[in-house]
Amino acid sequence: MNEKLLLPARLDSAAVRALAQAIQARRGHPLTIDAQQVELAGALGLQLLVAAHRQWQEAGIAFRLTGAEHGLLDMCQTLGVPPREIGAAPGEEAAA
Amino acid sequence: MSSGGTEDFRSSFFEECEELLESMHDGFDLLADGAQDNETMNAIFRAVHSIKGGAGAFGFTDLVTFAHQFETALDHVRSGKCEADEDLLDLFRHCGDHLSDLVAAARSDDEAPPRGDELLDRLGEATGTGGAADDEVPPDFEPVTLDIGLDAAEEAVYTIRFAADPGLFASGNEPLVLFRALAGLGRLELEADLSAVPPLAGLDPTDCRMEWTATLFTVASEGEIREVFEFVEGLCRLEIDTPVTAEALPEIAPSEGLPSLSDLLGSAGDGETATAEPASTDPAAARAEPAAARPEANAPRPGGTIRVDLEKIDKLINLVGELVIKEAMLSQSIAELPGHTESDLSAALESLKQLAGEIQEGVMAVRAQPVKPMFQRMARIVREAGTATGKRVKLVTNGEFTEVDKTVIERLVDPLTHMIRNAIDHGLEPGDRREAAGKPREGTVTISAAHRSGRVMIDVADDGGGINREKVRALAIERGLISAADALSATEIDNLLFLPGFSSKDEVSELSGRGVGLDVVRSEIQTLGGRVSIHSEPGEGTVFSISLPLTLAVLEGMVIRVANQTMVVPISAIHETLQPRSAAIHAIGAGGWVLKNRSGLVPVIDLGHFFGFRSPVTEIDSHVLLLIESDASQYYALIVDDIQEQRQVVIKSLETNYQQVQGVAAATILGDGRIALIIDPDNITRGSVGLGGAHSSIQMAV
Repeated sequence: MNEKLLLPARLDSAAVRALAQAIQARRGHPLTIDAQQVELAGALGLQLLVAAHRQWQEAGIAFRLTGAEHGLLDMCQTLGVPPREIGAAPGEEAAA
Repeated sequence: MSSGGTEDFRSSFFEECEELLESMHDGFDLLADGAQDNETMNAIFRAVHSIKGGAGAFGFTDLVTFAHQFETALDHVRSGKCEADEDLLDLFRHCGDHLSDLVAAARSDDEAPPRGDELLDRLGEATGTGGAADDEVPPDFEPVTLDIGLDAAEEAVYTIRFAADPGLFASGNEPLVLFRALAGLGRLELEADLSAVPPLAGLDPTDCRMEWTATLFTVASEGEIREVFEFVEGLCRLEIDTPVTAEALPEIAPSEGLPSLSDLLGSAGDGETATAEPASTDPAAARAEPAAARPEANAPRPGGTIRVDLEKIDKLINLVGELVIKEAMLSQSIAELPGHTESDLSAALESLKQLAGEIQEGVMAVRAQPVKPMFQRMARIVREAGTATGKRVKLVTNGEFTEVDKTVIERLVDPLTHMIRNAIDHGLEPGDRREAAGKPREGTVTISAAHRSGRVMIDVADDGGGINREKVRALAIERGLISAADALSATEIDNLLFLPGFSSKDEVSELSGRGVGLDVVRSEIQTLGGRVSIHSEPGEGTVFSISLPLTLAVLEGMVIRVANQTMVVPISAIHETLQPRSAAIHAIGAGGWVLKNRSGLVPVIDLGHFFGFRSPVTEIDSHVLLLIESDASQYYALIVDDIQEQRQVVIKSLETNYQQVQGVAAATILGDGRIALIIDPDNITRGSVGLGGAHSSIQMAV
């Protein structure tokens, strides 16, 4: 079963704990994270996505992040995080 | 971001403002001393600029508008378009005062004081920036120069390494915002080091494991770069390498193998970055600016300091107090052990005692702060008082780095303000009279602070005419404070100034005669456990000396016993201890006594009876008398049974833990674990109305 998760508008330090739990709850299933509503993503928010991506990679399960072009990519750029690290690089799929 | 985070951020902004205002005033002082160098002007400018920047972030429009125009005027002086003469400096100081007012208004959400427009008009006129005053406030950040080709010679390359502590996020800060600000200074290449980020299962989501290495191509100074991070000082690890020469650049620049973000993002990246690209790869771009070319940009930063919530320190002080008490209790139990001998135990206990004492001292020192900011506030009082009285006054400060307990400093502001106004209004003579007496027209008020034998001494001195003792005496007689027949020494006459209801000026003046006399000053200082005295030389001036304890948490006290109760009397109030046998005691009325000592007759109060521990003592010889000096130099003697020892006691508030008790200031816990009350010497005279009243009339009559 492919799990889906819609990210909230603000991925800041106040939001990460709840979001971490929400992602954890979907472990073991292929996951698609929808970032189209994201207006602000802070360092902790991006770190969480990096960690989630690594978790899924480690388990060899599909992990995709869509809708990053609506704003998340800009914040990746500002924070120096390569988009592929959060599973959003163009043309790059997470290891399946 | 939680609202709590924003609130933290806001209060941290205001704390920053205090420091910035302080350095602004420092700069003015340096200018006044003739330091017309660029760095001083830069420091002032930076301070005002940083306040403006922060204020903009919080939307304090009044503050931003004023700071902007003030900054414009400062910039004119900085760039040499006009000269900072004495008048302009004076105006700058007034603007600085107004800026402080605006910050205070923003902090308390009050209306800003109205004199800003008038000041700005004068400022515009004086510096020729009047036109600028009509401008809209420009954006908070200077536009980034993109014309790299032309400015390349001035561009330097900084390598900045940054890692965030958890506290950074907790205080509402965000690296994203910092990096955006950094990018505003030039062209920023940022690389996040993600190697420490674990898979989700091992991640604490609030612990930032990412670290960043930024390469900034900028014409900005290191000081300006550090300004970006000033709100997160102490909440992050920040290393800024001095600008590198182009030869060294390839070694520290991100390796070529890494894909550029703009490549990954295709055309989504902004065009400006793309046009700037060639400059960065051209070694000539960075080579031209050697590191030594901008040493002045490395403004001295306050050394390794952190901000700590006062509440946390107070909690720590309280705990250390408990530790000291427990240590005393332990000592006592061990001393009472049967067959107790000198052993390793007592040696270990002795070192524990010493350690506890050192910890206590260390923690107390944390609460201590230099008096400098308070002195700077006084500078303003001097200026305003000088203007109000039409006298030219110079303020000299000494020992401004003397450290005093924060609470003491805060509570000293009002008494000091009053004393300074008093010195200028009543102490300094008008300019003509000064000249006639062969003194400079400009009067001098000196505030000094120093540590002396475990206490803090603060002196307020003026070089005025000194106390007119004849006049003071005449006024005191007129007001019925003394009788015409009283022969008073010079010191006694000076001390009359502290009596309630005394005002030595013929007419109550607008400035210092506001119904608050020196008696209030004295009682405020006495509540702090301090004393105030006067020394005056006719024709040469007057010095008010305040002596204060170093801390309010510990008190030097005399441990006494009365009716089987142990109590503590503050040492500062005890004038003398007496054996009644040798002292001249006279019975008076039904079971009352007065004590005859050098200064006259003094009422005697039985402490045991006052607190209801026993019925009044009938014979006095087996007791001990403590001669106490209270508020307004009133003397009285306390009958106690026994004096045990003099020691430092940790003050525990009764009002917080129980309720206020007449005659008791606070409590402490003794070594045996029992609670001892610390008596309030002033409250006892007020409390024993019938007694004290009758006795004071006797004292007056004799």
